[in-house]
Amino acid sequence: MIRHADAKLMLYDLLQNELTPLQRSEVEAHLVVCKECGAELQSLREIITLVPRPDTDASDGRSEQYWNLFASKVEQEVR
Amino acid sequence: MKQTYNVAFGFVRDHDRAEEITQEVFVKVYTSLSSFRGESEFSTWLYRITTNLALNHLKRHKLNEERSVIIADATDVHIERVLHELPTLQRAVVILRHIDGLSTKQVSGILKCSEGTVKTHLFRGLKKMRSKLAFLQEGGI
Repeated sequence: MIRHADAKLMLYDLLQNELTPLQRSEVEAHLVVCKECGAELQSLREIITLVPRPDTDASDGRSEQYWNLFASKVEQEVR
Repeated sequence: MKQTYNVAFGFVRDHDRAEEITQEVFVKVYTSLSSFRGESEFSTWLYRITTNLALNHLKRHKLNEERSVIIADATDVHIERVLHELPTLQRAVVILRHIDGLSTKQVSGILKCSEGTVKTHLFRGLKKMRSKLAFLQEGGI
């Protein structure tokens, strides 16, 4: 059975679907009996909703031409 | 180069500053290449330089009111403020792991700490942010 301290630190990965099937089932089994982890999970879910991982990269806002020019600029800088 | 820019942007949330940092990173990589001993993956080394330069950049250019004005969305202003109030290591972990989406293993390599430490800082950092931003949900901003 998974330890409480370990389960707590795996809650983020659970919400991001980044656990292995075995880890997932262990954490989920722990959640059934641990109210504290249940509350932490809810709290993490709320902050992840409020501060979501961006679904696009910041670099997507720049054109390929920009990146080519930028690379040349850096090249000049290091010469 | 784009990935470096994205990581830098995660810290400074500003395109011009991210560009400035990316440029500094590649100059630094070029001048320090001989010190790369291959003990970590090259990308880990690159992200470590990016993280250090971005954190230095943030220290030099403390967030001020003028900066807040150029961010249109009030919620974003609060999120950015709370994120930058976190202790340095917690902030770096939240940005690299949560905002930039790097793996726990990658972040532990970049920050030279254990994966357990990354998980602990992430948990504590997000928990602190949740508590400081609770008013956004209560006030319905």
